[in-house]
Amino acid sequence: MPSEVDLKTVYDAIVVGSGAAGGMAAHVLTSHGLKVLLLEAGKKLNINKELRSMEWPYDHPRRGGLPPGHAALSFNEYNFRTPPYAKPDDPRRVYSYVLSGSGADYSRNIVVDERDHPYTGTKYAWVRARCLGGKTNIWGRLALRLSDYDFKAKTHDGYGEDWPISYADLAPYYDKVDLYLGISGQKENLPHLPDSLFQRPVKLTAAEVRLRQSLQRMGRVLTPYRAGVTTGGLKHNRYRSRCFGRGACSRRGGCDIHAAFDSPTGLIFPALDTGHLTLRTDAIVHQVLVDNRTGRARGVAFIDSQTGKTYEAKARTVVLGASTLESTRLMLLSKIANSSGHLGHNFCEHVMGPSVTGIVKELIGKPRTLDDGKPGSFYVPRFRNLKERHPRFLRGYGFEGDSGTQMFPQRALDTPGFGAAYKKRVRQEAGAFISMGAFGEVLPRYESYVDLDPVVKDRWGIPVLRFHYQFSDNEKRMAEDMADTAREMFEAAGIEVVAVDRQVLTEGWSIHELGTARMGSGAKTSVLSPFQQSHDVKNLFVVDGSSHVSASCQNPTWTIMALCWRSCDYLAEQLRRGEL
Amino acid sequence: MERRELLQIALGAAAPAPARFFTAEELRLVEDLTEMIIPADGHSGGARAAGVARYIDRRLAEEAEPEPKRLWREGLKPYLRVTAEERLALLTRAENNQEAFFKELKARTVFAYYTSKIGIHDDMEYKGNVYLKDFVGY
Ligand SMILES: Cc1cc2nc3c(=O)[nH]c(=O)nc-3n(C[C@H](O)[C@H](O)[C@H](O)COP(=O)(O)OP(=O)(O)OC[C@H]3O[C@@H](n4cnc5c(N)ncnc54)[C@H](O)[C@@H]3O)c2cc1C
Ligand code: SF4
Repeated sequence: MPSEVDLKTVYDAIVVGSGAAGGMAAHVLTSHGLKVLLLEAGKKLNINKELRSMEWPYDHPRRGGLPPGHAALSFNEYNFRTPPYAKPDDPRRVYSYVLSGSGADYSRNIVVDERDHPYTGTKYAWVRARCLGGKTNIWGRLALRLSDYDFKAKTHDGYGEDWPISYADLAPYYDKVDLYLGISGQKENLPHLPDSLFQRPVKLTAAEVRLRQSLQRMGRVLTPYRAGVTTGGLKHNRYRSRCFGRGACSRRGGCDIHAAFDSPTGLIFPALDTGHLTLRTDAIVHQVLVDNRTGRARGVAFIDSQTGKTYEAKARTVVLGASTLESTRLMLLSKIANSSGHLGHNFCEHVMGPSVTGIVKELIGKPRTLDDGKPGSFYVPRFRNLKERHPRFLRGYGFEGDSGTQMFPQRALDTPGFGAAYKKRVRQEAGAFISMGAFGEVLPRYESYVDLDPVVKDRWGIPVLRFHYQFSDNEKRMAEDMADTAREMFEAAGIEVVAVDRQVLTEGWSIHELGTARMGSGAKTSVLSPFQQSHDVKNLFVVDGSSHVSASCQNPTWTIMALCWRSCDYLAEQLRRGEL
Repeated sequence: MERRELLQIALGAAAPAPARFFTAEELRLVEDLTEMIIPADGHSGGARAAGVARYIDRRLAEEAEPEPKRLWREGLKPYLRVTAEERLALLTRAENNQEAFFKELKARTVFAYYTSKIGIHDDMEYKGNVYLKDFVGY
């Protein structure tokens, strides 16, 4: 059990959650000298024991598989079942699908046991990590910026709402995040995918260079993976090493030398070193306490996850960073911040599934090269609905891909036959494959929402979320286009297509849930101000993806942190001026 | 539990312990069948040398669901009844028909082989999982 912390003090700020959002809030607020209490629902894991980046599969008794008594949900279960996904009387611990292909055992202490954390409603693969650092312990590290094609999307195509900020407002904060955490990538000067302040990029493989050159002729781009990984090192952070390109980077969940950003070593440990941060783990916040007279938040109530005891903590400001849906759940539980009627609504995320795999004939049988000695391979930025308008759908999508040899030979399970010929074929083809899959923008709609289930509660007796959300025709049409363009691009590059997957994965698979407490200038149609401040409860801020107005098609984490930094600078300034 | 298993694996190297799910006869058969899926060749050892049958045995022994166990027990039966020569014909037919047991046998063999020392280092000559000074590529 964590040692007891001082709960008599009135802190300058209570931060709820310790992932990308909460970690960044703790960093920025303590850097302003504020006294901060960070409450995290999960455990503080011994990450040095937890992350086993260099372990060979054969040194693990189940080659990364789960021990008896533990089970990961299968791909298919999300297709035909509706939540809750774990039966309450299941004697096993049940986890989401995450990393179940490449070693679920490596993430089982990081993701939640679905039995303890049910939710209801429409199908949704909701991946949650409850421990210090949240999902940043296992994130994929693709770190992208948004542009005014995203912030001003309504101006561009008439759908939905513009963000109340523009790229110029956020650019300086993206820069700060780049420099403080480190990011790897290559400049491309694209207006729709602004460059970061990059450290040394990963190198492309032969197959990727070929595709890049071919795409150039189509006016499209393939760029080295933009990774939230420090490839050049960070002099100001003693907890993180630079990346040593050790290969098989994604399979173990985390990076044990923390070249890849995670919130504990990137943000929280340095914040603790300032002496201004108090950390309390195993603290499930279940209510924001609001003073009825003043309408201001005075603190929060939390339950110790181990003992079940409840506590109150006091602060001048409350900052929610419990992750997109959890922060909204907390506001719904507290019955606050919803004078607009938009809390829980305008939910959005990314649609994914369509992918293509091809083989580069010239690479078959070539001597073995090391192709996965890097934190990521490549990214193809959006090209739809920028200058031209697509007749069948709004917005766009980008592709994440990789190629070449990996530790486990690609497509070995799908290569037909058996015996000597099979074995030889797998060996010769292993370095010649290239594949990519798309992430597309899901339009926010008022009808896409979450609310509290009137009956079902989690293990601690807290009402759970109920989903009311399904992909619309726009997403389905976009997904068809993803599969078509993926094939076209490979064929144009002379890459022989061996498989096209057209199936759209169940809602939630992208793990990029966004919206439900959007920002806006008007208190009638939005929950938060442009500084992520509640219109109703002035000293309440929500600094995670809940605040996003639309999803864009770029992975959200870098934007979550840039916005959070900007809002926390504002919060500190307002506090200093006595405005909060 | 896990420690005891590791101990058994370590001991197993010295004196082969009895199989935990398969009968002795089944284990010999699974060793033969997995070797037929991925045989030794001039380049590297096959499934037998990589200990694939033992690995499958360990995983099945602790499997909670009855279905995979049943699939193996039933699936092996026809192969127990035929001569070694006839097995190839049977296996080829099973692949052509994409029989459930064949798919299971192949999937487990392929997974266990390419996650073994022999599979990763000798056959695939995998070069990663080492500290590098610079990224490789173009
Ligand atoms: C496998 C995987 C791959 C991913 N790949 C990418 C990628 O390539 N690029 C990208 O941009 N994003 C990626 N993501 C998403 C990324 O991880 C999230 O966007 C990011 O972590 C969000 O940060 P957050 O702080 O909002 O939430 P989280 O990281 O989930 O942190 C929230 C924290 O709040 C805590 N909490 C929740 N409720 C409470 C409560 N009531 N009281 C106290 N604490 C609470 C949780 O325990 C958790 O620690 C990926 C995620 C996963 C799982
Ligand atoms: S390749 Fe780099 S980021 Fe990935 S695990 Fe290795 S050191 Fe970490």
